[in-house]
Amino acid sequence: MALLISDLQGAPGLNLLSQGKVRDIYSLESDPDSLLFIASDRISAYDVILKNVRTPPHNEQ
Amino acid sequence: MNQSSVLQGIPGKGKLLTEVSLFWFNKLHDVIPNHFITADIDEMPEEVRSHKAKLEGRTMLVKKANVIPLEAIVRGYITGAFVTSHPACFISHNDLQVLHGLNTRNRGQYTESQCLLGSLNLSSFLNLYSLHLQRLTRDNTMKTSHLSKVSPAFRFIVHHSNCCISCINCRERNSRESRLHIPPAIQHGVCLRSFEGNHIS
Repeated sequence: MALLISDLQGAPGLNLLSQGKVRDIYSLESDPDSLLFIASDRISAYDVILKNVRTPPHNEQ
Repeated sequence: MNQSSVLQGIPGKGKLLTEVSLFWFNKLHDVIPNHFITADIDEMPEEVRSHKAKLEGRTMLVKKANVIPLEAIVRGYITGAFVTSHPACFISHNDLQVLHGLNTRNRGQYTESQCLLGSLNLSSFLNLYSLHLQRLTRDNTMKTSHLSKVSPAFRFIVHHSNCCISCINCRERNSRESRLHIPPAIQHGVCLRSFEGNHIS
């Protein structure tokens, strides 16, 4: 199962600062000098986030 | 059975990206300081640890830092869009194949693996509100406010990354002109990518 969005809004102590093409960035209330980088499974190509991709047909025996 | 499938995201892609980043942060940690603190969830604050199942392997705790929005790509081979956006072919210089006027007429003669060169591509967000990276040139670098404070060394790199291919193309058209323009980087067998479309078209 792919993680498309980190979905931690509302989680205590974490605030979503920014969503990039692939990474979500949170600030931490307990540690104002740090950030949390979360790498999602989103796909981007040429600066565009792709909603889905179709993989080519493959042969199964 | 022939079947194509539609994927929403690639399962595990974020974990792989994190591992690749960790490799390089580790490899280069004594070359240049970085923002990395830890990727071990157990070393992170409690509000992160409570999401361990979701976040493990794809999460980094990092130091806040001032960002210079600059992307630099060093290429050893020409592939994909580089070939179509920079019609050029090859000359040999000190046993190094360098980019040289591969036009539509002879493009098919070269495979990507033959296109060995060193090239440096610099991109940035010319507009901070846009996610779209654009190639930097001498001109737009100076006009881009968030890059105007970067060091003279950076401007030097942009300046030289702009000049090489266009000069080689000049040689094709006009040898006298090219001799005047061939930059030191080429003379030392290093080819940096040109961003000057007016010379390449």
